[in-house]
Amino acid sequence: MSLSANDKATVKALWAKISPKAEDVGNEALSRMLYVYPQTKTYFSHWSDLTPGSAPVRKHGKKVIGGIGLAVEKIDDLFAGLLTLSELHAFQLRVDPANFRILSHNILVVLAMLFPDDFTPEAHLAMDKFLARVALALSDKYR
Amino acid sequence: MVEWSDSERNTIASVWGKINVDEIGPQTLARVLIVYPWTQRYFGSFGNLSSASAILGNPKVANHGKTVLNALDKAVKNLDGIKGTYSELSQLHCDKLNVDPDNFRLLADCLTIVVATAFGSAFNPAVQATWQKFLSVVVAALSSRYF
Repeated sequence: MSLSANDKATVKALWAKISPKAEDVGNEALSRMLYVYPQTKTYFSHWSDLTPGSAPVRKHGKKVIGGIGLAVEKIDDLFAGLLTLSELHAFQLRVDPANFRILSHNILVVLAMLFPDDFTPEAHLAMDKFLARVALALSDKYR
Repeated sequence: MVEWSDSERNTIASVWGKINVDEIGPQTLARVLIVYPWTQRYFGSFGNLSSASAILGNPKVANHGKTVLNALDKAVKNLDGIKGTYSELSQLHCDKLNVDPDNFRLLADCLTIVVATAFGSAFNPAVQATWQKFLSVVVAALSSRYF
């Protein structure tokens, strides 16, 4: 389900609005993923503390949301733009791609929670499509 | 059998108590139809669904949204018997309407997101976990006639 010009514009506009709170979004989304979907903890067993809002979670949330921000920048060519990240997730981290859907859902929930007026149905549609494309790009190198 | 802790029972009752069905119902169904447009296939008799604003202003969508959300009340009041509670509704959706059960999950996801817009930071991870557990039991009950 490819991104129309309107989708890309909507994603960029929403991202501009949420950027000041990007770290909070990352922290909240990752915290919820680990809490609501405990199977995702398997990738972080080396952390000291997996509870919502902990230092390692906050730090990694910032990294992850930075990756999403990169994807927004590269929205016109996600597969090329996320190539390195795809190789990382495929060969080193070996994250089951099913988890991309889980994290995407939690990002949407957090956007709804923190930006209720901006997260309109149209923005929801565009972000859902965008995150699905990001997941596809991240899975590209898997096999 | 699903097990509910006292804390989960309280959370579900509390969240449900704060949900305004007349607002949240229509918003949820509208989001499903907008974000997952193939679902419009099931609502051919609803009239104009040609754009997001048409869907958001459509009175049949609004009414049906209220109907769908009101049906959750039965589950809230009968947490220990959700599967039995929805036996007839499951038959209706599965055997008569032939709704793909994946759509129940899509509706549940949209409902969670609409609840998040209404509740803000009160929708913390623990509340989200309990609420999603509740909805997944409802979704399983509605899908039960398929297998």
